[in-house]
Amino acid sequence: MKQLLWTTGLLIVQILILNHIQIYGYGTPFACIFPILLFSLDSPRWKILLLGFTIGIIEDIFINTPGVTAATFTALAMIQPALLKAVSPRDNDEKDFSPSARNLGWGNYIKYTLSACLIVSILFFTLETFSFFNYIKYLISIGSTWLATFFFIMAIERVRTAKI
Amino acid sequence: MNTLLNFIKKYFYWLLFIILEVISMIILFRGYNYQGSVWFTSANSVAGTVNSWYADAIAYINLKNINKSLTRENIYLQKQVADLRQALDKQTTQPSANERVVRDSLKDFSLIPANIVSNSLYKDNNYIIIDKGESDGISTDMGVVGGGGIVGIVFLTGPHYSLIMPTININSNISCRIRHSNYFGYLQWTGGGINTAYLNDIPHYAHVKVGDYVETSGYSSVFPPGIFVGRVTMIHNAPDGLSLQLKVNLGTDFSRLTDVCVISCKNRPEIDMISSQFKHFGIQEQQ
Repeated sequence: MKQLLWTTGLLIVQILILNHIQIYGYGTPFACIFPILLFSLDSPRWKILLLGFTIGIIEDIFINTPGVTAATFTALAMIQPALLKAVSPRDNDEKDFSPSARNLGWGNYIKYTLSACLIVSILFFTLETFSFFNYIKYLISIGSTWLATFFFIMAIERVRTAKI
Repeated sequence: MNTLLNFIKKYFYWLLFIILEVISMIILFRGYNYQGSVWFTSANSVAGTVNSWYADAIAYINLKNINKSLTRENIYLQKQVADLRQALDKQTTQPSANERVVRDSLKDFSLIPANIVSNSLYKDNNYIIIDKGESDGISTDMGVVGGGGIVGIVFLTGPHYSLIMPTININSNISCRIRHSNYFGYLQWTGGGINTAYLNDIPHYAHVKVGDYVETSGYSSVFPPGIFVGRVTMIHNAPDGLSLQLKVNLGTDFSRLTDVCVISCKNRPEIDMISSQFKHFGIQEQQ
């Protein structure tokens, strides 16, 4: 329920505000991936995949990128458990270990978020441009989106952690 | 079964992931022209490559059948080539210039085709035996021609076989003339080469030159006039000094002769009858 609320709220913010932010005309922060990153290690994979796809499709409708965001977020949903496992403490036996700055520590959480944002940025712009002809623009777009998304997720996590 | 179900359950998310990605890609390629065209081109290329592999594999599998059919076809073609070669040989040897002259000359005569069953070439009294005899309408003193010109005269006949005295027999004596000048003489063979005979009794004043054509004169009922005999290769005086003797290169190659035609003159009985009456008259006159 909490996750649903996060999803709905972030989608609204994404659609109404973040989609209109163009960093020098290159990058757009994708804060709506945050709900995907909230899944714990024992979450059913199909649930993560469906959520990723749904968020992606909705985002596609609003930013007019048919299929690009859906494919990107579905891929992120597929590798999210692997990313989380990579930054989780090895001696952790709890299966419902949910990813947060408090549970992982800020260092690990930053790694987790940075890698997730990087994957999203690379996939999104690769699918959108579908060529490496203008690779400078491509790299700038990836970089700016990566950092912008990371910044917003950190901000949201900060708010969430403080709230908790 | 349970294991299978567990397996599917365990890895169901992979299937779901693929389905969702495929849906996304379909939307993507339909939504973007450029991506769609790149996909279409790549997909075509991939499909082309895969189809090419498939075609190669099928072709390889079918090689055995193809080999069989090729072998069959090869045998059939070989047979056809042999038949055509035979037909071509006939076509190229028969309608030679000489034979055309022979055919034209023989228009009013009926021809009885025959095959040579035996012949001799290197004796003084050479002979040829053909597989046609009296039962086929052959009688003595009929002329025999081949593709290259005259061959000889029927000398003896049996019911089914006949013996021919060829021009290359020292007893052969055939009336011939020089084409276009009409000087005539008698073709005789003196032995030796089977391609050469001599035309005797040509007068000294006759205009003859090397290369002239020699043909039958038609002064008998044996050969119609104008059948090719050979060409003059040498001109010299006859041993008696009274006439010219022409060395003639015979048109018929006796060493390769396999089939001939016997000339049946339609007017032969009439000629024979008149001839016999004349002889009878001559005898009576003498008496």
